Amino acid sequence: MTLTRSELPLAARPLQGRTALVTGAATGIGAATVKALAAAGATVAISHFAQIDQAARSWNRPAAWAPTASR
Amino acid sequence: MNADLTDPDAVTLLISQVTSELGPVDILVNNAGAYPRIPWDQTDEHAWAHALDLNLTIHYRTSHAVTPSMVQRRWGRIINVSSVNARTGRPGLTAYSTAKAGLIGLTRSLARELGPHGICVNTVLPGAIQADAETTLPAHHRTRPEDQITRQCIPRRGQPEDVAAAIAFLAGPSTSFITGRSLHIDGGWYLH
Repeated sequence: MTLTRSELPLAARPLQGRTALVTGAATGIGAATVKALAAAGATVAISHFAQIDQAARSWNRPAAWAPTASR
Repeated sequence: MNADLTDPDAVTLLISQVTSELGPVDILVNNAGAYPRIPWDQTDEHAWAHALDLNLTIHYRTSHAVTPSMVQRRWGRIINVSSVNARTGRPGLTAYSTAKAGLIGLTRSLARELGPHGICVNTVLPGAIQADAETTLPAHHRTRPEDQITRQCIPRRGQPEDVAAAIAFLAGPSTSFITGRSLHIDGGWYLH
């Protein structure tokens, strides 16, 4: 089997063109995962309950609010 | 997005908003959870149900919401964040550990459900990771770092980046033949 360029494990940005969603993304493992996926080329959506403002500051993006959710 | 994943309507809204702004979700990382240390004799029905909801059912909910579009596009990655406690158990974390063990069953079963559609489902099991959540624990619930390190093959504190690197690998294009697996990220703490 021949791997295509995009299938090579060490491709520079293997997640280019992919959309990811990370839950619990404001802190700890979630926040580190957002950075790793973004560095690999993915567009990353982040969700975090209650600490979303902290997440928004971390990523320098305005937070969106799900209307059915409360703080 | 601020979303209370225990609310099914909030999850539906979250996924539809992400989809409309960024496109359908290719990679779902089910990382959210809570670490409620509750003594067994105080684990009442409510505490039990809440811990299972926060550490297991929310991951069913997000997975169920994103898989139709993954099936349609015949590509997807779901990575669940479990815990070494799923294997080892831990006093004061019975409901949590039960939920985290449940994630292994969810992962294996979903891997079989979705494999034919090009979707890989895996779990990572972090060990002792030096994260913000740790500092919110009462001192008597924390394991001393020097004690923890002696349990591991690799004598250093685990970092969030150690887990993130494994998740990014599992999310990638080179793992299309790896599914239903549980990968420990614990410095060789739990070997089996």
